[in-house]
Amino acid sequence: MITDKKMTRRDFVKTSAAVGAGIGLSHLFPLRAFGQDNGAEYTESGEWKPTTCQGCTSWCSVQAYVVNGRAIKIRGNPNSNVNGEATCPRSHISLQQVYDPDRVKVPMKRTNPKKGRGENPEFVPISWDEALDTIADQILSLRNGGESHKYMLMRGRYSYMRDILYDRMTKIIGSPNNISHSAICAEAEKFGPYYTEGLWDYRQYDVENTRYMLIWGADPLATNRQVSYYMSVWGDVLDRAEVAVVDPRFSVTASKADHWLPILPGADGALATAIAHVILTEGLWYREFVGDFTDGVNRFSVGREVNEDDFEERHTHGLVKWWNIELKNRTPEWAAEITGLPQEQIVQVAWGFANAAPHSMCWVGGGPVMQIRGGYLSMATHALNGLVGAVDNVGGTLAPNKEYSGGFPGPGEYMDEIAEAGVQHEKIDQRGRLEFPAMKKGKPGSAVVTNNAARGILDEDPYDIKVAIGYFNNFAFSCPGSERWERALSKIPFLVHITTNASELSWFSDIILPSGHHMYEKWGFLKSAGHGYTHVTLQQPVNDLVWDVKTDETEIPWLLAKKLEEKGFSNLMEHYREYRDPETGKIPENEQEFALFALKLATRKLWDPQQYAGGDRINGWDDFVQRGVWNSDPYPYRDRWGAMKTKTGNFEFYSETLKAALTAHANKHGTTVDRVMEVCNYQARGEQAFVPHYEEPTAPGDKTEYPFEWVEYKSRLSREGRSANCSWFHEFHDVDPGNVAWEDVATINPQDGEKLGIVSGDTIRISSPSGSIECKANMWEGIRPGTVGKSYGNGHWAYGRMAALEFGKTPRGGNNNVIIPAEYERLSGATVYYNSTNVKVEKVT
Amino acid sequence: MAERGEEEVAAEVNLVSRRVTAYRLLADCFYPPDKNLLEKLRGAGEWNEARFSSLVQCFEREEGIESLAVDAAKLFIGPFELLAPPYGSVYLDNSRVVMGESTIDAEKLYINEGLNLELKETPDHITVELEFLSYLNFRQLEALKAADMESADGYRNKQQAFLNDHLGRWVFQFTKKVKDFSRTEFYKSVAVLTDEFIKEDIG
Repeated sequence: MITDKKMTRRDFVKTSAAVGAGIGLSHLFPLRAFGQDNGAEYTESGEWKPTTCQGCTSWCSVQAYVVNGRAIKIRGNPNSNVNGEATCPRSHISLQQVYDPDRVKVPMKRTNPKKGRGENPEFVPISWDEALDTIADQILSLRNGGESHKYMLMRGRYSYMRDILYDRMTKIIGSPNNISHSAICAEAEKFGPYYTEGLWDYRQYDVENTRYMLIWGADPLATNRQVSYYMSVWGDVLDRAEVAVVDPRFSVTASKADHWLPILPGADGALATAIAHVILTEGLWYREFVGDFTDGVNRFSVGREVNEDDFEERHTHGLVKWWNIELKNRTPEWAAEITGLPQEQIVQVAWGFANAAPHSMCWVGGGPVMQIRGGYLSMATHALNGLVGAVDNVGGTLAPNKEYSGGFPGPGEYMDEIAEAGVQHEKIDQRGRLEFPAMKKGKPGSAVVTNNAARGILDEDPYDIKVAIGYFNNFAFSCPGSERWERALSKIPFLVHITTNASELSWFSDIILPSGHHMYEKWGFLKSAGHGYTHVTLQQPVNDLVWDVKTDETEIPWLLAKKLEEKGFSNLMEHYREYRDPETGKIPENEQEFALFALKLATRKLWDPQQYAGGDRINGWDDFVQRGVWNSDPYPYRDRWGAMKTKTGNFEFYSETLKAALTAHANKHGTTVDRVMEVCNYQARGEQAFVPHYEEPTAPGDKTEYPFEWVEYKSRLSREGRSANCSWFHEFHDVDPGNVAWEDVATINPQDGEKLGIVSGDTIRISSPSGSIECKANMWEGIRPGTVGKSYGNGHWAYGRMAALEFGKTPRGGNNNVIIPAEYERLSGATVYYNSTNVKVEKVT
Repeated sequence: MAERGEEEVAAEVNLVSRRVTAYRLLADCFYPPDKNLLEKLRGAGEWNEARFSSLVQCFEREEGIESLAVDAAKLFIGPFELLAPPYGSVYLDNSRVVMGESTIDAEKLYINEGLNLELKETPDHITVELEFLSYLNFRQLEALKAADMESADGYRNKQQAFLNDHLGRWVFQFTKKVKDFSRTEFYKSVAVLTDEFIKEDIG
């Protein structure tokens, strides 16, 4: 019989408090999962709520249909002028991400002290309090030992709340080592535009007004940026414009283009300079932008130098110098041999492109520029936009529109002596050394060299890293030469990973902190440009939280600041208390308030009518939350003509801006620009270093041993490498031309397959000087003979149930970054992904 | 079934009481292990003693709580591949996700029973579903003691419906994974016991 008849229903469902007492009552202790009846009845109601997708860097403003705190579908946010109602397939995969059963649900700590690929970390759950306590102790121990610089913060993807964790926290702790992912993104893509037109940024492409698109190694219908917008308008775009795609692979965009130019990897510089040569010799340049010969007679003819005084430039600088130094012998005939393209096709495309001037554009993606000699490829391809007057023009390439979001309070007064001394140390990525000019915006040593941080850590050069935090990143998977990161991370005595999904980086971590999903569980904001507008779009916690997760960039630093304060170091918390609610002046009292106030503060000029600066007129914070997005004013075409942020204010074919930067870097190291070129693996000497020019492509791997050139590309469904644990990524993998559902395949031209004795479905091993991977082969005419192609995103060995064939042991396919060696485009600091290596292919029997 | 004698009712009270405790204890076994768990298992009560005593032994044989904690984490929490996902929707919905349609259906049932989920977990987490069955049995017990046979039968029917529509449809796939992947005898035994008990209850 029941021993205690007095146990009421209320007692039975009452949570935890009674557990101790309940033990004595044996079978009648209360339930833990449920609370008391609150009288509610189940009702169902749904609402479209705005947020932002970060499945790629389009950063589309979207709306999630949320039913009782649970998002069930996605559409574009019609309030956005950038993407409007359009979304792409990637955004829907986010639903599988947020509800992934393999997500990190609670803080966890490692119980196996040994670290390495073969050491299972044996994680166990811990409380937030214990986790933060441990991290705070580690940070304080560094500070107390005068080693605050040995703290490192690694940032992967981010929102613009990033500086709270990335910048302010790192500085106030006292470390120079906030290492962003930018150099494994596409910094070299910004190099050309900066050193020609003073724009260190991605461009907008005015597709609706263009008449000719020459697309270099970009696949706008598949990946990055404004994919959803382009997908929605592309049919109309093709009605108006001729499209040529330069890519060794038959990309999605190539499949819908008028011309496909399957160029030999890395030969883009030859094609670009030959097109420039045709444009000049045939007199096809756009005179309103570039100017003309004083007497109107074209003197550009093959092999002949031109007198600079004979040409009067308008909004450009150094055209004749460029011709004399580089272009005069760059004939289509010469380029045909180097590029593997027919001479007629080169001439045809040059004429088509120039005839549409100024409503024509060169669209330059990561393909031709994230290469060892990619800096000048970036310049050479972008310089064509200058010749046809496409820069800043209708139907051409545009800068982002002006927007008015702001930053956060400065850290200065909260940096104590330890911090001030700490930040003076050299950074762990070795940027700024002779071999790493890393010249962001013309300043030597200003750009991150993300992938080289692994070398810094391994060599303890300039010193060892003792405590590190990584967030929204997985460098052990996403950086080429990934094996180096496995060793580097194993070497860090105390590593914390803030993440939604445990990954290869977590494997080497001591503590994992569960992070909210960027699209459904976070306050933040993002900025992106397209369609002639910039939008600033909110990320909102539209979902009810399923697990005990916190926001990476705001809530976690706040909680850590609180811990540090409890332990006697209050500077960070005092700084964060400055982030007051701009509406009420209230000081944040908890992590949720902090996250919200920080966001309101940073976006105030967009939503506060009292501080209106431009663009959409929004009537207060609540209105902003409701709309989810602010749009800039329309694009001011040609405003920058003659007012570019270059040394001369003009579009520089002879880059005084680059000359100044390279000279500054050489002077810093007491050497010459020629020497800088040499250590950075460039062939240019003398004046050639200051103009867009051709460099012979180079990639690791001797051709006799590694006869194929490697072609990497991005899958349409890869949410920056974070889709691999979602079934839809695999089920619909064949939406990428050449890919196969549920398989990780390398594409091989059937001609090569026949020589190798390989057929579709065979398991193959692909090897480079850096490593080997295994995957399936797929014979495909869409890949140039002599090359092997494969999309990025598969090959996880520690990500989750779907991502690996056997967790911790057998990946599903291969990670491209195992075989891509750690190489750099050193002038920008960018990591090399394309034309990155030569490989051999063997059938696995 | 509504009409029964005193002895029958006493036997039923006995049986339902056992179920109240057993579901509750089984649920406890799927939370991260702690010392309280051992105490609870030891005090399983005379009706369930035989069943749970083997678990007590397995628990005691472990050198410390850590080996159980590591095993439980790999099976039910992560952070990498969940070896035995403790979520109904992973088995019942089409794609491998939490918070699926079946999850919401379970949540509806709780709310309609006047229960409010306070655990930071999904409504179809194994612990939640087991506790819900404990609760439905508790209600049945209350009704029996109040001699409200109609209500008692109603709660029995709800238990059966919940087993048919939810827990019973996935729990055996789940316990198979626990048996296959656990590295401790404790969790293997928990899985075996869960199997046996629920099979018996389904009848």
